[in-house]
Amino acid sequence: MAKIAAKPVLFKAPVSFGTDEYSAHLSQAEFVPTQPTATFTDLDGKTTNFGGDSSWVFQCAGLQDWETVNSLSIYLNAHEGEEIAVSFPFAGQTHTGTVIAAAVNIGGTINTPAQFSISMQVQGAPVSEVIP
Amino acid sequence: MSAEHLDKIREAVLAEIRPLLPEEWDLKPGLASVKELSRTTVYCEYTRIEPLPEAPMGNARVGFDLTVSPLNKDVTKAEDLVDAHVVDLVLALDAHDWISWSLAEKKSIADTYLGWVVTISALASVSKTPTPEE
Repeated sequence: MAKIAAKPVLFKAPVSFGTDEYSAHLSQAEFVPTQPTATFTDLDGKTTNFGGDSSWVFQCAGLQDWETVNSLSIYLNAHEGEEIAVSFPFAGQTHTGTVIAAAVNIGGTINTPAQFSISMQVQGAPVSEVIP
Repeated sequence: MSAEHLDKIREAVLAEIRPLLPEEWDLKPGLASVKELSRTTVYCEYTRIEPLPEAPMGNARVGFDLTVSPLNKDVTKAEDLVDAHVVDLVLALDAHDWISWSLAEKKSIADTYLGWVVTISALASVSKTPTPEE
């Protein structure tokens, strides 16, 4: 049996929302799947597990910025409920998803940078394409 | 591209750092035992190895201190000489896919020079570099 070596890499990617790139605003950007599951238990007590196709969310966290024109927090609040394209190149592929924009936190904890952390719905699944 | 191997990680890090420094600067491996400098010199000191929490079996995070020792003993001139380059260095490291920086701190070096110590870490595979026959 072959022992497969791993190649750890740091996640550092230019993340785009629509046509603009927002890496300087973000500390987290990831598409996260959740698989629907069900368990059937028959009269003998035997259980069978089922798993379906995952639904996806886009989790992102970053800095609130209410001064910079078209900052990510202003952009997301202005486009709440709209479908926007989110993409980032990472590890040789470009990962793109259609995300439903959601409003972000306003305010925060005293003497700390104002942050936001949100989970936005993805239409379908993200698409990964190899970068030529 | 395969992972960087732990047995050659110092050479690998030096090779990645060299193009990020001004050409006229020296880059030396080993401890920063500064005496009399003829050029601004960066000492790359290998400081620690720790398991990579995300995949501790077979992977590690290794630490280095890059000590930037400006040629000039005059504090103000030394700052003018290197401050902007240290900023360029950490900005370049922001884009690197297996090296990151966590702190750049201005320090007195050998009680003579005022320089910077840039703490960096690199990801590595805890394995030996394959020989050409492998």
